[in-house]
Amino acid sequence: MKKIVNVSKNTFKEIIRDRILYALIFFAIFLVILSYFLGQLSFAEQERIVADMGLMAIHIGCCLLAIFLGSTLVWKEIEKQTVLTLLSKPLSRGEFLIGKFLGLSTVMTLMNIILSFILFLLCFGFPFFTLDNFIISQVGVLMESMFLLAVSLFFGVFCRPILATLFAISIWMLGHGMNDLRYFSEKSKNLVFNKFGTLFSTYFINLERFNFREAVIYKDNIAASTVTQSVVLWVCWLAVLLFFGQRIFNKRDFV
Amino acid sequence: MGKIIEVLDLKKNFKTPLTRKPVPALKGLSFNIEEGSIVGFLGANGAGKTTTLKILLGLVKKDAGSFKIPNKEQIGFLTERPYFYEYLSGFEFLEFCAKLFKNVPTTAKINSLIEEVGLTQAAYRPLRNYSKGMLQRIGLAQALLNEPKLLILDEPMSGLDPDGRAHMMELIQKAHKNGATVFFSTHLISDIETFCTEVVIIHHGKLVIQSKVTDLLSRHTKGFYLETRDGKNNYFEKTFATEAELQGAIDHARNQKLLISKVQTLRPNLQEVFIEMKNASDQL
Repeated sequence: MKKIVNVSKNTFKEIIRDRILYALIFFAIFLVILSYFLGQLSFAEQERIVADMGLMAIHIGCCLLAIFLGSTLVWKEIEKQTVLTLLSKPLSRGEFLIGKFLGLSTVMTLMNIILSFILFLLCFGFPFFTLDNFIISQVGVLMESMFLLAVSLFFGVFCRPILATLFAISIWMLGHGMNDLRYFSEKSKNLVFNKFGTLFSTYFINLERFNFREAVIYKDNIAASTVTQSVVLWVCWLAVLLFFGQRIFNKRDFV
Repeated sequence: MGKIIEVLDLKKNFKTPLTRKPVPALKGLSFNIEEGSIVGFLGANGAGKTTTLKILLGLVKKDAGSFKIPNKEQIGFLTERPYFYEYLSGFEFLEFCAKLFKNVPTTAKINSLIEEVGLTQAAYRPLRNYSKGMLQRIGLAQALLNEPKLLILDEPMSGLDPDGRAHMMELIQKAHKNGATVFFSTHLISDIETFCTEVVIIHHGKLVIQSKVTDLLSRHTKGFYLETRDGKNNYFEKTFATEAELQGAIDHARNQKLLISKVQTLRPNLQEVFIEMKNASDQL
């Protein structure tokens, strides 16, 4: 565990000192602040537009950070051969991979806290805005971005970053389309599409399960059971991705 | 002294990216390294030196064969191209590496290593600002952090200027004096001649020879040289192919009342021996 913490601390330092992170943070902050001005352009529901746009900005910012940094995280180590120095020491490949995952997760959490705080200042006092729902929505964003990080890390251990990024983005988009796929496949008269769509939408991850953003805007109640189910699903997917990522990484030759 | 590394019939094939055609890198390599020695691992580019070292360290998986090596807590390793984390300072890098060991080296130990490799002034500068020589030295410092029983170095002198090479050699010899067995790959024969007790030569993934450097050189004598002088200070010199011919010439010179001013065994340098053995191995 001590070694995992050490690798994650180093990964945290690595990313914090990387300019790409700041470019992404400034982009996300820009979007959050822009949401305030876009809201002003609307005739009605200005406050909801500000909150909706702000939540979307944080969601996109965190997910992009996870995908772009996650897909290059391991590849950079292999390409620059820094991995040789580390793995020649008493550090297992699994510890290395999990350390990397936790390091970037910490950065994402920090980024999420900063962006959430800015949005909180913008939305504080809106009649529909409740802190509980806002916090749960941000936990959902974090869970989704950590899932995407695990996906990009998984592909990053055996693919080039461009491919890992493309795969992760595809899974991100597919994951958000599961409700629609299920709806249309159930309505379809085509038997193949009907069976395949239902099967796929049952077993593929539904990223809408981590989306609690609408509850913030419409002041809906979020059931504890819904959150629990999402957390269980999230833990299972993370475990599967990290387990198989590590299995593949274990077989890799560092030529 | 026991054996610290035992390699038996090690085989490794790499596969071409598209056709997956196997390209043999090691074809049944076997050798042993005695504890306490400094062993040079010599071979031309592509002979399989780095692959062997990476297999020993678990960075590349072997296809067949076996090997015995101390556990990683007792090993220090310096890679061929020492690219380290650019955003860390030298001190931070050593601190990070130190925390990967069970018995974490102290800050005092890290500082003393920094001083030993001559990087005290640059200890808190980011590694991206280090020169090649400085990177090699910080690389050696990280390899020495755990006071290793076995020090494995992959081309430690490559790309260094003469001063850098001398300093590196000094540091490696110091580590050896402190009890480390040193096993290093190189294609620079002069390095091996200068400070190795033993040499392992490989070619096309196979062992050519493992021998003490002195034994190897004496086995490859090119002949004998005799220089004589008469009373009028006229010098005569001649070379002989065999020891018997030399002995005959010495007897003859004595009979002629000539002074024997120089007798020398003509030995090739290691480079000549290496090329000769490599060519012989190619013909097999």
